[in-house]
Amino acid sequence: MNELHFASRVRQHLNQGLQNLDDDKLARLKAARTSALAAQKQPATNPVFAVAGHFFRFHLEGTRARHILAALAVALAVALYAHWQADQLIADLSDVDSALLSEDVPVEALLDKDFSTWLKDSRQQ
Amino acid sequence: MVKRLSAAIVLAFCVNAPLLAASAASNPVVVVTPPQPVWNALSKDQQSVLAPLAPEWGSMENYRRKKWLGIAERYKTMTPTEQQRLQEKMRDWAKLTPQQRLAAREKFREFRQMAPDEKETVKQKWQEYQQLPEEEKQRLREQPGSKDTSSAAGATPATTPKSDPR
Repeated sequence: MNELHFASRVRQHLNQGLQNLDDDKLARLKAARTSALAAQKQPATNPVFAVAGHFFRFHLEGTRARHILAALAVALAVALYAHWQADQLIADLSDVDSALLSEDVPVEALLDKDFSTWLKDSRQQ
Repeated sequence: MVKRLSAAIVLAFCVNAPLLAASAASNPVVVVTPPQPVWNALSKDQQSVLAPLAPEWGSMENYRRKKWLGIAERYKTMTPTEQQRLQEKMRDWAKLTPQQRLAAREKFREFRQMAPDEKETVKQKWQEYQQLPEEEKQRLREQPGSKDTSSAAGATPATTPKSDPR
């Protein structure tokens, strides 16, 4: 008897045994199957949440919270710098304009290009 | 490490994209200046100093309001004569075009660096120049070197105030 023949005889014997199972054993097998199915994970009922969950799980966890924090820190730094720069520019404008307007030189004199040319000419002469 | 840094930069760029886009289109000062108080929300002192600007205050950009509030702060440290000059020139100044204001500031920076006697000379020369007959002024305008001169550019304030480019 070779191994193949032996295996075939075992299978045949087991199949015959299945036909002769008593009711008690069948009931226990059924209960075990039901219990196993109940313990199995159920699919998500809302596909939107499921998709969002998958996204956060695979993308955000993937890029890591440190990446996001670093990006937010850079963004905050850029915004603060822009705000600081704007404040500086406005302060400079306030300085120049208040000096210009309180000075004893007419704005017209500063803007009149003909006067500027005439002044240069008169200095050269 | 490099990968992480580049990811951070890309994300930061995305977060700041609206700010950067607006900055490229105009000026960051215009974009990031927070809302400034309306006329009725100003203190009595501020209203008194900035009274010549009351009609235009409502249509003024936030960064210009902030600038004028800064000037109102500096007003307290000025002499009475300077305060009077400031208030006299305020309204006409606000009505100039942004280009005129920019040109005047540039000239004023030059003027500021002059020696006191040189400044006095400029003021005297301005008086002399104003006394020149109109024909003489016209002759000056027609000189080859003064082709691009916009005659008395600042003497005629713009009718519509525009946003300052700076």
